[in-house]
Amino acid sequence: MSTDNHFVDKLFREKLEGFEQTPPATAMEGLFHEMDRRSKTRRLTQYRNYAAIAASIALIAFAGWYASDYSSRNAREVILTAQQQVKEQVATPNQGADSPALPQAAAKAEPLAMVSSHAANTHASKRLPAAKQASESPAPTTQIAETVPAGSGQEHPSAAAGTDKTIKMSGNEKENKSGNKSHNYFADLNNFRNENKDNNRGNWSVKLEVSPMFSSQSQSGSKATGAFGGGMLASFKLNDKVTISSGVRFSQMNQSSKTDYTLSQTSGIIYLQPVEKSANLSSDVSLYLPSTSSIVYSNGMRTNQSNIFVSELSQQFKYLEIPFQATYKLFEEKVSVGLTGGISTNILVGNAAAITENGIKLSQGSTSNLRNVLYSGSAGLEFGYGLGKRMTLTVEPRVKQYLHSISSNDQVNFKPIQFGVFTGITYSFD
Amino acid sequence: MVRIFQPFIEEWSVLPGNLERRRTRVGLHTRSEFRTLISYSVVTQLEEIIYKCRKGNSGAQTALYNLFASKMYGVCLRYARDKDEAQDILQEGFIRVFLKMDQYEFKGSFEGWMRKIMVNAALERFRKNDKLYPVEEIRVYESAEWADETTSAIDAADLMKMIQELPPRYKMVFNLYAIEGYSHQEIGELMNISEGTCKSNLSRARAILQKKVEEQYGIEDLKLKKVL
Repeated sequence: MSTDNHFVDKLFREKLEGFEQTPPATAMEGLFHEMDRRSKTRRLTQYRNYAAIAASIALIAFAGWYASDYSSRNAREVILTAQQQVKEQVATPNQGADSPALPQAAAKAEPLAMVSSHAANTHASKRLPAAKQASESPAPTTQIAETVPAGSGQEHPSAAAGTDKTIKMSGNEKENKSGNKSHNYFADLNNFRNENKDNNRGNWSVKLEVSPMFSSQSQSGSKATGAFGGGMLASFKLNDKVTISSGVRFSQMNQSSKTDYTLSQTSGIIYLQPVEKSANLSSDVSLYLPSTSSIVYSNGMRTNQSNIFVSELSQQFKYLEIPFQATYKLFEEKVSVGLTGGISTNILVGNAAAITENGIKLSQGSTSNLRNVLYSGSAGLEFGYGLGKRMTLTVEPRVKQYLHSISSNDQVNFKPIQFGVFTGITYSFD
Repeated sequence: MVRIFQPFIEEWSVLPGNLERRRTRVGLHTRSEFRTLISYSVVTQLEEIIYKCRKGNSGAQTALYNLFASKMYGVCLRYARDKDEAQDILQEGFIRVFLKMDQYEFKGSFEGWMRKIMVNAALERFRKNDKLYPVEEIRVYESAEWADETTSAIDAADLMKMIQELPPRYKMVFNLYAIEGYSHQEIGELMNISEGTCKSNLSRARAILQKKVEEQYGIEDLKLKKVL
């Protein structure tokens, strides 16, 4: 602060320090008009942010779907070309063994085996029906060998890595007029595709989940009250076993405790102070009594005990969680089981406290010194049940541990543990 | 302290059921004792307004504006070149007050807290519009202190006009130093200027103001109290 007391300064300070002048009447109107305008702009910005998040998730999901669909479309084109060429071959039987069409068809079918084996790698890679060497084929009946690639005599590495499960062909075999067995390979291919589709959900999926939440308490004597959590996650399957997920979750923590309070007054402010100072969150609350138009604070200090209130203090904290988690599938059939674990950033979005007596809310306020950003770790089990080609019902018991105290107050060391059984629906893209 | 509910409390012959239950639980012996306690719960009208403003209550915001607009407009006028600019600063300041209401911790005077916000709003406006002004030739007067009888006749509105007519930088430095009580170092940091520049601007501002006062009020050497 300045210490100089120049006479010009002194004159102006004395005359103008408490100077008052009524602003023009339009000033207040302008102020509230401007506040309205800014409030609308803020809301629009907020909606735009939400829209941007939603658009990002949709874009990621679409990109995932497109990437997996591209493979499917390629495979479809190969099949159609192969079908067309073999049909032509059947229509012109004289070309017989000299015809290049069949080997071409077989060669075209080869990428299909690669694509399909990639897509079906959650189980066994399946050998595709493909053409044997054209020279061995008694045209026009197309005997296509069950090894890939055609003509080379060598199995494709990805197919060899599988369990050598082969496609049943009995239903698709026919005998032609000359007594040779004819085989409907297109039906086989379609069967193969359909079978694969059942077991092969896409790499990208979106999951909605919700759960009741149970939290540890900051001190003995307090009890948890109803809370819930839930959110939306986008997942990407890295391989057969591992899936990574991220998204947005909402989680809530409630606690209530009976505490003795005293009232004291300082400079016109009424303080509500716990009788016993303790290192817990309920000694760190600012409260306001709307019923009596007073402000009350608790600051953990013992005061005059003549006026003691026994009140039920309830505290509620809400967090927006941005998780990054991984799931390791132990097995995956119709029912799947996996281990999940990850870390999350938790942003404080709600902080409320209230004192109630006989069910009547006497005061409300907030807990002081809460950290705005918290980090947590989580672990759990994920049970899945396939509801169809794309939907899976999941039940996931999960434990979440906050990695540091939710309060910045040195006296309060409360790292809550939360437990929830999340029930969710997962939608997988092609 | 305005005790809004005090008259009602005094008139109570029987406490309402809720408070009666509370009284017995609290263990107070007499109703009057309890009434006294409850009367402590009644806080100033301002504090109630502040809490309602925090919840976005527009009635409370209007009440707060009505309580402080004149005082804050007086502050804004010192930092502005005219009434229109002062109104703009006042508007920006009040918007910030409403938005930052949660940050007021009931420590120190609320008026002082508001005043600081107004000054910051003026400073921000100054930073945005800070332009280089030609430095006018100023004759630095001898430092002479005016007699009290002379200064008592000087009108505050005239002084306000004189301040408003100062070049923006001089006006800002003079206001912050002479009236708000900031140090040269603090002003230098706020305005992003060196301490030396700050001192020089203050000296020039004083000289201009001294000249204007003496010209307007015809202060002669005879009325000088002393010459330093």
